[in-house]
Amino acid sequence: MTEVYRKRGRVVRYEHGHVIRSIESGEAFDDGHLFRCGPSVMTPLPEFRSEGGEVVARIASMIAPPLEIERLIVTEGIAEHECGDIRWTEETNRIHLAVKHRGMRVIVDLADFDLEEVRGAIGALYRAANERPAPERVRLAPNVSAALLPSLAGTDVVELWQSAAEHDGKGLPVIEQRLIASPWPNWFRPSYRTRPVRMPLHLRAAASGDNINYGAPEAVALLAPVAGNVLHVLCIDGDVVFPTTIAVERVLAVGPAKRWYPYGAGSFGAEMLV
Amino acid sequence: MEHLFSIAERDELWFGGVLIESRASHGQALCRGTEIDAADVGDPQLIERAEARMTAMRALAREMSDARVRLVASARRVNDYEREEATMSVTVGGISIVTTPELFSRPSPRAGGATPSEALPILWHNGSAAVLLHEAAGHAAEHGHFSSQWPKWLSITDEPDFEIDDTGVPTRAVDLTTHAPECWRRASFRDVPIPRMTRLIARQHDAPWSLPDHRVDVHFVAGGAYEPLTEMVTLSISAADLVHGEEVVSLAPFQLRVARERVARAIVGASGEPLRYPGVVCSREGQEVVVGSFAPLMITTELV
Repeated sequence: MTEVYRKRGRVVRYEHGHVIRSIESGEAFDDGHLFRCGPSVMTPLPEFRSEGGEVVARIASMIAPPLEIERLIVTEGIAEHECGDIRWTEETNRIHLAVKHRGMRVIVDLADFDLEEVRGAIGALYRAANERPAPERVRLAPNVSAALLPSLAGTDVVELWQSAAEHDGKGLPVIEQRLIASPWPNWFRPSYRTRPVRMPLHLRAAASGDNINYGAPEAVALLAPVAGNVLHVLCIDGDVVFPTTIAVERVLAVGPAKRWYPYGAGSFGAEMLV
Repeated sequence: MEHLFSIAERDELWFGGVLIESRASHGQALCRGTEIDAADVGDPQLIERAEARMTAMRALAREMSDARVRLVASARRVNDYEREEATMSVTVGGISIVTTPELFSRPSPRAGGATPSEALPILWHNGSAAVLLHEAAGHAAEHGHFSSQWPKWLSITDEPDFEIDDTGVPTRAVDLTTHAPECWRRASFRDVPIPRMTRLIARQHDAPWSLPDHRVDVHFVAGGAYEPLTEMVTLSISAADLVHGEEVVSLAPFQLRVARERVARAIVGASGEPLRYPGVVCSREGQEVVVGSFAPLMITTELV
């Protein structure tokens, strides 16, 4: 049987000094062997009030020389989905920011326009000293732990759970369950042009302990995309900020999930002691 | 400056001679200064031109029962100027090439091979030095990183093979050792145009030529990257041989990681006319574009 998926959406994106207002609708057909997709004629979704321009201005005002914005993309969108008989709507906000200073680059990815973590990352970058060996224990800030979780799926580094949500990429309910190994129960479809794949959605970590050692140095910002279980991060230890590389082999404690981040097919950040 | 950009594209994935994914895309972007209004409006003429380019490529893809083949054909218009692109990315046994139906030749899979145990001079066959220069000169130039160390006998230029770029501006050749690429390109109607390389051509002019007896011969490069923060070039070599006199041993894939300035100093010889390397799909800011790549047979000292 051929699965039919339709989507229409409207996106406003701020990128490299441009603003792109984009209207698209399309459909995809998948019979299990051949995946076909293309634009389709549908009534455009109505315009929405965009605040992306203000967000760009607020971020730009936080960053002054010698720090330099390398990449700033702010996106707002609305979309309507239809898969078989199931219909649903979603609104998305995204920020991707890369700021460079003295041979380092902090990377921030957010799914909302609360900029407190941007401010924290920039402040740490400004004060960063030379690279140091990884401390024995490190407290990962929620934005850092969220980036790590997708690459820990299927490992025994930490207990991972998929959090419940209304719809996956095929419109099915996202099941709350502990994730042990693939095949993952739900489907991820970031675009109608992408064939859906099984992925763990809305990840969160769990541990037997929630006793976060607040005396441990804190990893506050990513300096590079996560590579497996390896993090290159900016760490704060008292008054000192330094880059370090951490191979996360065991998670000792996990705090409550705080915020959803656009890593993988979504993950919740929480303070983690590793 | 205001311009209207329109594009139609067909993108297909074939595996083992069977079509498994087919994507159509079309739309237009009305660009006024820094504002772009994009919509998936179809232009029947461009759609027809893009689809027409698929026929020959599909015939080749259908015959390759052991390959993964991606076919992309597009037709675009900027104001009144139209052009087409058609490329095939073919992967057989770990060797990937990017080519056109007109220049297609089947890549040959290679056996596993030995691991390189020492740093040796490298002979870059098959135009593969163009990939090294794409990273070390081209991408470096995009970030204003230029070197004074290039050999005097070597020129590295970006020479667009089309007249008007994706913002409606006439194209021209630029010297990548002193200037950043000037041709603005975009992957789709929903993308921001950015200056990109189009066709890198390296030429030698009376270069020295002395072939080391003990060396690595590079034939194919799987990919490359330039990190502007550290000015390091990374290349993934997918097909190479260890050569010691008459003895030739196939090498396992390996990676080179070398500073940009070191690349410029390491080039010690070249011979012949530029050879077309079968393709570079260059990804930057999430936009994939094909960049033509030409270089003569070239020798570098060890790259470490």
